[in-house]
Amino acid sequence: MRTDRLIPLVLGLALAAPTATAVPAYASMVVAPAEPGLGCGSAEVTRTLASGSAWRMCARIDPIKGLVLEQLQFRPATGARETEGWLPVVDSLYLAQLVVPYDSGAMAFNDITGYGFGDYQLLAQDDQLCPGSTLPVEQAFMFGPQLVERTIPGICLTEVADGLGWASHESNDPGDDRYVQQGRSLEISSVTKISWYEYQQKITLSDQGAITVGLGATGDLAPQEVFYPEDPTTGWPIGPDSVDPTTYATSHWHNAVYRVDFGIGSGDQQVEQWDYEQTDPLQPARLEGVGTTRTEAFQAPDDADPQTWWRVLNPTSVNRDGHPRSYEIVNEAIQNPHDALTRPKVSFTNDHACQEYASDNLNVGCPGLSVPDYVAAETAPLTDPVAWVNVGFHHIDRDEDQSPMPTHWQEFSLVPRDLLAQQATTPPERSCVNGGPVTDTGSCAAINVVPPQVVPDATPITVGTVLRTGHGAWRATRSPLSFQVQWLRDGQPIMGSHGLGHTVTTADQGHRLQVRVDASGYRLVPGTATSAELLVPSRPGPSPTTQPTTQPTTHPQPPRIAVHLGLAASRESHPRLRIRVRGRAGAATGTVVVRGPGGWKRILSLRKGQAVVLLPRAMAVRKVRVVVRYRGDERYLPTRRALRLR
Amino acid sequence: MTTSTPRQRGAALGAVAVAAAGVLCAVLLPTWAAPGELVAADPMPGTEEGAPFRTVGDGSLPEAAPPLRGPHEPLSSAERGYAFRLAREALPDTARDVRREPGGELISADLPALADRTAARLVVVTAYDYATDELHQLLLDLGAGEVVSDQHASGLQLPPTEAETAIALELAITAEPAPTFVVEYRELNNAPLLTADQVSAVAGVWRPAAEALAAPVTDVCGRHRCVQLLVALPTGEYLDTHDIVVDLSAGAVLPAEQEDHRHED
Repeated sequence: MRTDRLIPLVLGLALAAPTATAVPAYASMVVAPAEPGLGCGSAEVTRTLASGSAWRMCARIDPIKGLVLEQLQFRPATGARETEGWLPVVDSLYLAQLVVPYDSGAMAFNDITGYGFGDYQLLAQDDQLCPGSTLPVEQAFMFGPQLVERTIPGICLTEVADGLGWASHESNDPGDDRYVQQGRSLEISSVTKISWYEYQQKITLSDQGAITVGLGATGDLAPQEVFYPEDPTTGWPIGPDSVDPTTYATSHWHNAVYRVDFGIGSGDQQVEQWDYEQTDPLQPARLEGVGTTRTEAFQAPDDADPQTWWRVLNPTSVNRDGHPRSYEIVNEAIQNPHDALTRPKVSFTNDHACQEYASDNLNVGCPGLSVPDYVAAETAPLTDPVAWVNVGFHHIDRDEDQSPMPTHWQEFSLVPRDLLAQQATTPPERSCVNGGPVTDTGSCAAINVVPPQVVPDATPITVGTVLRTGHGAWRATRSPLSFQVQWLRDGQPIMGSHGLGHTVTTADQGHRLQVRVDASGYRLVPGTATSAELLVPSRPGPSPTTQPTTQPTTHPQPPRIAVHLGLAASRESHPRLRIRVRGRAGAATGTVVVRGPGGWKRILSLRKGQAVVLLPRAMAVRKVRVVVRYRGDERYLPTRRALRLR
Repeated sequence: MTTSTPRQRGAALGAVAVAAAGVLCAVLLPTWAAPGELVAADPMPGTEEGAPFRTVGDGSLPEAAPPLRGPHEPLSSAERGYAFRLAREALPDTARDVRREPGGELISADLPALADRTAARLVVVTAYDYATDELHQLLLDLGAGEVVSDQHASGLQLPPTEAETAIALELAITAEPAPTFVVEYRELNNAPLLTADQVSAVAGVWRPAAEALAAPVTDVCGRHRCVQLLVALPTGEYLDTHDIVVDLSAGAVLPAEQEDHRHED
């Protein structure tokens, strides 16, 4: 078993470069809690792509259908910004028939129901077949009176680069702010050999939630002895004319029919059809679209308008905008028009367990039936939709199709439509762009592009040396940024050191200093940047360390949230103020600053979110006003509260 | 048309195995010929790339329920074996496999459709009874060791098993008059095709098209279990088998009715 050799994520903007911007690895915001599995044990696949989106499902090899995916669930890179946990989208998905008729009319093969894609036809995935990792497939069947078995790496999982995921400039100035990311996908595949053909079943799951279902055919053209008739109308010459000018490789169809059992959220789902019409001859460009809920099983008409499309939606599962979640069927393949089974672009029925195959059904509950029969027999309203998707490929052989035949593909896609309120890898900078005219410019999040630097005003660094810093450079934001500076000693906040300068003390000697800048603004996702560390020598020496000892870090942080600051004063023998800082993420950490009249000030570290400060008796007697300020930590925003002592 | 007795076919089966299924390795041959003689070690999961199938233990089916997996998890070999045993016991006593041995031809065992699953470990076993030409589909509860349901129908043909493929090839090689591929073999190799291990074969279900004209092959196939053979030389070169269909139910090789002939009028 190999491990994934992940192709490094190619970012349009490198993370470490001074111009670094949106950090796509938003997955860090998605804290995966212990969650129940899907109940399929070793067949469960959970993959978080490099761009942060994730998929999970059960993947197995059926003895006849080959690759079967069940319980497909998606989690966007934007995580909790969109939804908590996983979004169920498809209950099951597999190739339900593959009819291969040869144009000569001499032969036709049902490669699924007649030959089968599992058992001994399944090929083991080796390093050459599978560039990713593999899942073991345990197979067993009867050979006469004996049970035989094998376990092979039969399913290939490969994360691939999809090319440009998205790119957007803020304005027409090409030098202006931009957002760029490469797309990622997970490919799940298996390979089956049926005589001269070798088929790859491949399902590609993108970081945008799209599901592309493909069938690749390679291997070799059909054998010349049987399939090269002397009929130029049904074939193509592929040999040298000087040798055999009258033999033609026979053209043929690969008619694939996929069965997709949708499972978007829970509860009843609907099939919606959208049609488009020119209604005003004086405005030929004007198109009016009408959506119709199809309440009964149907097959797409043979002469369907190419503009018409269908989606499956769940009216009770809505995204953050309140729109029903749905998947649209995008089928740009051609359909074989010469067979009632393969003619419609798509047919819809309800999910019936006995309707397993698209034709020559092998389930005794619905013996020998095909999709047209299922459609005709359906009496219930269409609330648990199964799509039977026809994906055809008419293979007219070429010289270039000779051994080994380059893989030819046929595919369709399921594309999310309103599954989410925004696209699945929306960076924090664009998180506030949701509907309405986009008139505001600038990032929705405080994103550091150049970390703050620490510069001593003199060397060697010793007690009294002033270290200076700035805020660093930040991406232009929609509202002004305000900054809070915190100097750190060995990563811990230094009490009271919040300015752009820090005077070195004896406590700093022999320790690493750095500065952290927290940026926030009105309706902005806050951000944090930390400088490189600077080692303060233990004592003045000839070669002070003034070079950074670590790289500066920019932390893409989850948005910090509000915290509750509780104050309780007591006037017993020793007046005291009890401070409690807690929020949804539990007890706060960090420090609080308590100020009173006349410059009275105390800085306290929180322990388990609490601190107690003793108050001067005089202050308590005079019923003065004290102000408590919490500086915030990585999870909580700063806050303050005043209290008049009584 | 020609026939041979089931016993003759059974004897030939072991010899056919290697050639008929490229991935079935030679260890099956003596194992079937003399059960228990060769017991293969369990392969390491996920490590056998391009691995042959091996007999499980001595090849016999487990008597007791093995450790059961979760309801959606792929079946273990032991679970499949136990399901086959339960199915075989549930089939009619008169049921016969392709060799006409008792028990029916056990074709596949796998999970039921998602909608049919429960918390129990349910398995669907499909078996063909050559005595009645019926397909049985049994839903089994492995935990309870019980048959939940047993449905059967005629005219349903699942992909042929390896044993059926082997029998079909043997029937085709020994058919009289000799099919085209046998003649072709002799012409290409200057030697007769006498045994199955001289070629390799893949078999698929053959049934007549809906509009097929009456002929022996179109009359019986579908109701009978018929297969089409794709036979190749060790070099990978395919021989011409399009003129025959093997009727496993009758143990006969039938001339295939060609569609282009049907449409001549």
